[in-house]
Amino acid sequence: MVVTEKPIIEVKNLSFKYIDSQHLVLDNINLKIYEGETVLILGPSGCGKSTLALCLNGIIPHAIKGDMKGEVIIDGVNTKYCSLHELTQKVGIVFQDPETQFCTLYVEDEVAFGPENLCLSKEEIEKRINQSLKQVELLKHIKTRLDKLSGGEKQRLALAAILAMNPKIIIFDEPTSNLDPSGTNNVFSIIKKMSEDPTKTIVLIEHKIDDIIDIVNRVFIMNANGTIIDSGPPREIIERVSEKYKELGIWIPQVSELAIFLREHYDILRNETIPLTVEEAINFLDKLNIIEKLTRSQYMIKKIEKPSEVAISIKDLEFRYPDGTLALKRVNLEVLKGDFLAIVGGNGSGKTTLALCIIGAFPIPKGRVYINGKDITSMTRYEIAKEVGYVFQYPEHQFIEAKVFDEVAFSLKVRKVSLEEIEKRVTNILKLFSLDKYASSNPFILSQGEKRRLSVATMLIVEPNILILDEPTFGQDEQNSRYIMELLKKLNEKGKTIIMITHDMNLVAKYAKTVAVMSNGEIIFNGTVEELFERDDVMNEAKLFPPPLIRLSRILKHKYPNFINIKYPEAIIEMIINEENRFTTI
Amino acid sequence: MKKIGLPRYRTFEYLEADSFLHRLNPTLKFFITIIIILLGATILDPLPLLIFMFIGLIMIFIVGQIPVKVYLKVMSFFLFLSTMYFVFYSIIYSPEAPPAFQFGRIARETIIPHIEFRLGILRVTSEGMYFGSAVALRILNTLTWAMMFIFTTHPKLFIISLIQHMKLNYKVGFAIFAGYRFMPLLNSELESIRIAHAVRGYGEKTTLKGRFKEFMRYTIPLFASAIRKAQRTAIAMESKAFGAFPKRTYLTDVKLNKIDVVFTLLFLTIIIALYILMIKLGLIRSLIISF
Repeated sequence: MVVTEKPIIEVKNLSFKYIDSQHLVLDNINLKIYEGETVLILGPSGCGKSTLALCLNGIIPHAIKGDMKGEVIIDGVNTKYCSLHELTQKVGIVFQDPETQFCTLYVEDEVAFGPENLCLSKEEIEKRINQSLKQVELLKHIKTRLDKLSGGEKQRLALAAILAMNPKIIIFDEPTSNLDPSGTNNVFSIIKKMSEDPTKTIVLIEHKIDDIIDIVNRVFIMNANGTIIDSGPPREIIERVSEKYKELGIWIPQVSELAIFLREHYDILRNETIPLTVEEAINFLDKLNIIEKLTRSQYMIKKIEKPSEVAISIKDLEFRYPDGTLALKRVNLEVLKGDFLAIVGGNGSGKTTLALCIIGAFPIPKGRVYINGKDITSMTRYEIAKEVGYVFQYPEHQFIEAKVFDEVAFSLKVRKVSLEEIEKRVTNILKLFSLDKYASSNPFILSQGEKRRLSVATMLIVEPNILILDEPTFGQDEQNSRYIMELLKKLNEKGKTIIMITHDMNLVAKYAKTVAVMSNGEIIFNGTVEELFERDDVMNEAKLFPPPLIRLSRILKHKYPNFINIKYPEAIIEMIINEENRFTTI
Repeated sequence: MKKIGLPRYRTFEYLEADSFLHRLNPTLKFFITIIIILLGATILDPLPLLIFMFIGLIMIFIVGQIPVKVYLKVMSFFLFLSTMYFVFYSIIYSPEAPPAFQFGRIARETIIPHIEFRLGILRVTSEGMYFGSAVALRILNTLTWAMMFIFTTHPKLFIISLIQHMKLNYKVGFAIFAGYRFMPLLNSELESIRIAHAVRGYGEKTTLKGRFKEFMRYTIPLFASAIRKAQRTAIAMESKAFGAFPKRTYLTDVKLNKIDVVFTLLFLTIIIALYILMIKLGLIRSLIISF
């Protein structure tokens, strides 16, 4: 990284309000970013990070009107007095959704789109296509149709389309949040490569920063009011997040979280700097002599008592889409009552299709799917819904009523529950989900986190014993995710069976009891979380990656045979307390 | 975005191949298609329509090299539909009814001899069959030519050709194109909304009114997400300097070769000559645009 004196991005007292809105999205933002830097912007969901990105590339104020105050200086020019097409050649944005940022059908055309708009010659366009596709390693797909690309490839293509404009600054606005683990890895590796180029300045907006924080030079923290409240080198910022900005809902790397827990517990670590990567975490943990004692022989994992009853049983289920593609190949799965099952696997591996088959959303043959021993083909929609609640990935898809209260009451109304009973139950559940103040609001105006909570509430109102959730933490910040997951954990402890589809291996490690791994429409693994992390073959086939703490545990295992997995940051404290108690009781 | 639900059954779209029709300038091909479909719409006699359709089939299978299987896959539903039309008109025609109520009025005024026979309680007439087959063939002819165009024309090249040769504003062209791209996205979105509502006990209404009400419920989330998606696409396009200049360049230029023009003129001359000839020969008796 080469840092020059002159900032390439300078934002002075920037405030912005959308034309139809009452409140400021951005409030008095000041920042300087230097050429060649890689910076990260962190903040709770909906805090205005994306709006800031649009201010940097000139879409605001040129294409989106609103009330903009203050100045944005890009490479020496004020965005207000510079045409949009000049700005697009200085700043490019890779957006979150791989689908909606494309406007053509083929890889080549997509990359050509920008240069074509700039009226470049055919030869120049071809040259740029080749160069930028080479940089993102997609040259072999030059003639491929867009819908044949995987999610990770699509995001790399989006980057190539930006690179073809030759910008000095590239903004990534949550580029991996729609991707599966292998897609995420794929995109991160390209970003890492790009960050080594001293002529490119990278602005990264990302939630899950475990695998990217090591390339970041500086971090900016935004609060919910759209103000930048802090900035500095990643290590310092991560420390301050854990001290001062807990309520912002910012994810910090798991290894850092682990270290912070340990530091609170041990005085000898008080002056140690916190680690950001797995490698650094090893050195950090080496300072602690208790670590080597955390071995399997001394600390036994609590065995899950196996309840005998089966909640869901799937036998030889095959499913074909009408166009003939085999979506599920002879799937066999048993889910026990009280289980917390995670279904994992890449995009398109059949996870959602399988889950939808369980609730009878597709026509399937008799004798394939049983809920509590009953064949679902013999059950009505209401009977199934009484047993199984299903929370979709996009909460909006499920909303039927115009008011939050009616939305929750809907399932009770169709079941002809008395009005007083409905009133009582709905009020209770809205309180439980902290949605009571929105009872008469329209579901569509809620925030992402509130929408998700509402969709869970609508499913829980009829008290089903089984709850299926498709990506329950999709698009949620740290606080909302934790809220939902802790709620699921509580429900599970009360005896509900939870099935969750997810890409997030951290969630799997922390909350799931068992895991089913899907790949190409088949279940290639079904067992406990512990077992899965031992099975490299399965992880590789399904293109999954162990979460950072499992990677850390594995390295420690080389040092201390029998060392057990640290599944989530808080777990280490429990482990250590157990170990100390054992020591004092002897 | 993750696809939930059943993917669209996509058969009625561009098929990649390298034939004369594929290479023919899309705008000229569009003219040929429209002119033949319009001419066909004026005819209500089976034989001329059959001849037009036959030419269409030669174009599709021989000149365009489209597999018969693909054609039949799309046509199967319409073959059924036009058979229904044929049956319907064959039994509905009544020579005794006042002329305003006679679907086959035109046929009656022709030289078709009146023959009738009974199938149970139904009376089948020769005039009805004549008219019915004409209507059925008109549907099939229209579709055959439409398929000739759609199967052999890349949507992108068609739009570019309209921009380059018809002076279509490129912003309008890309708007059409964006709509085309959005269709499958919206389709899978609608499917997942339908499933999401069904899970909650919605979507089991059987009455027409109930179904309409349900459909209206789908539209709110569908529009909400369609608008959001369209906005995102617009922002992404403008971020790549879309609309910066009154003109833009294209990686792939659509060619307007001499041979294309010659072929189109020659082909249309033959078709129009054939049309006039058929009128002169008395094969086309009725020139009415109606169904």
